[in-house]
Amino acid sequence: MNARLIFKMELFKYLRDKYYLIATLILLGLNVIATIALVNYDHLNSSLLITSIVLAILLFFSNLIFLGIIYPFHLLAIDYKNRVLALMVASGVNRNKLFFAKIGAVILANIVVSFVLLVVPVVTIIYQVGNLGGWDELFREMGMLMVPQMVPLSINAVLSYVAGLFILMTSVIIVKGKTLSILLYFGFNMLVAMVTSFVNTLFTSDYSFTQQLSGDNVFSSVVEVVVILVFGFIALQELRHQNL
Amino acid sequence: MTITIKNLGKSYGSLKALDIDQLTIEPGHTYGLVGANGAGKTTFFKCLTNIITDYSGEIIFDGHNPRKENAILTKMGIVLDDLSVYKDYTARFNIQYFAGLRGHYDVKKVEQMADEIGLLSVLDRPVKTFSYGMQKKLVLLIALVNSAEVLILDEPFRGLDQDTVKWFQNYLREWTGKDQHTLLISSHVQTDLESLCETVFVIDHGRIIKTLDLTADNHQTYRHITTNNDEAFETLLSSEAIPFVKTEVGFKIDISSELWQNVFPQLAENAIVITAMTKVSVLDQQGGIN
Repeated sequence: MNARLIFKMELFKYLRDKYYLIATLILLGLNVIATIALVNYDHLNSSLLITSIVLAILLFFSNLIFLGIIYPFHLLAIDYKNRVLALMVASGVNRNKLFFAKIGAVILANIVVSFVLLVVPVVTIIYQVGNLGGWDELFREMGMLMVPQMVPLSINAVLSYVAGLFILMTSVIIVKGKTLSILLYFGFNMLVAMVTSFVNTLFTSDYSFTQQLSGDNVFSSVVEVVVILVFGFIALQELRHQNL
Repeated sequence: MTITIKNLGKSYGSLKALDIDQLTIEPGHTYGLVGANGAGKTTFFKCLTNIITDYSGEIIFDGHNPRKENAILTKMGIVLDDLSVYKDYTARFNIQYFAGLRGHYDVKKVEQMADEIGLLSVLDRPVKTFSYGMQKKLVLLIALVNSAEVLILDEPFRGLDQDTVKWFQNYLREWTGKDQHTLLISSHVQTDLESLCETVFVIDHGRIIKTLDLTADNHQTYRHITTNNDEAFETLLSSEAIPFVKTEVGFKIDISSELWQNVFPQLAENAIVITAMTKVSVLDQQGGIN
């Protein structure tokens, strides 16, 4: 049984995950409604406009929580919550391959769901900016994104996302998929932040608050890689030796 | 597939759950495992299937260590009492998912077997709507559709309706008779083991304390009998040279089914009425089961 087969079956499972697909569709519907409302803000009276803005802010955080925690946690914990890992392992699934196939499948599923949820608001905003005559400015802004300085930032963002998933997966494996994993996830994140700050103070001679805020991309990327390696190792060791 | 076990040990804290020095499971044979609750049967099966990994000693499948090369487990089918499937998904999804992990899903075979055990009409229902027995049937189906070489079944009949038990027993008899298939089964129902197994391991406090050979040569059937006329029955047994022991309440006799059929007409001729008769399990005779 190879990792590709496990990956394929993970996606097969996610595509039939009825309740979460429904939740995604509901969020998509709300995103579309909020986008339409905000685009047509000049047709709304003041109270409706305030309501729309409040709802849009709530929706923004809902999307953030759904994509950042709830959905990946669900995907990572579903096997533990249903207590099916025993049957999977007894069917010949290799625990190492399962770990990496699952991480890969969760990343892909999250990208697809993010695209589905965000495509309408993002495309509408771009279109609206263009309509308001801001295309030139927009392209200038987008051009800025392409400058070499932005590349490390993008790499750092991707690494940060993957590191977050590894921390979440480690938490899920340690407490065997219990909801407590989310608290452990926040705990691990705090720990990482503390250790990172400490290391940062050791290696930065002219350390200042503004420098910390702007961040050193290379240092951050190295930290994210270390986080991925450390938490990946802990998670793998735990999963390998776990009685199911 | 030969399974070799050496110095297998597993503890839960200070409690020694498994302590097996040496055991070999030969291909093409059927083995039973009996023991009281907590004797170590399920722990043993979980070690075999890599569900428990922190055991000491070695389990080797045809030269492969499942802790390192667990692809060997794709050749096994397993039914444990506490195995579970995805509850929010349909039964069909679960079968397809676990078959897919092994790389082969035969829809015709699945539907035929599902039909035979009464699951076909509910294949597209979410498993969370299933009763315990139906979930057990589903786990059974997942184990059986994968053309396994070795079946490991822990109390497989518990919770199943009688028709399914009969179907399953017949299936196992047919399955074990071909292609060097190996069966390892535990059950508290002694007749299940007697009808399916050639060898029975008796396990107690994690140790194999006895190995019973249930092959035809050793297979004796005892009956406890009480009659309305003990004197005449004793004379009849003596004249037929049937070994017996007189007990406080009647007779304990060692007799095959064929011989019993010969004796039966003579009972009527001698006006002997059997008032009670119980067949004694082979495992019970050997003190096999607690």
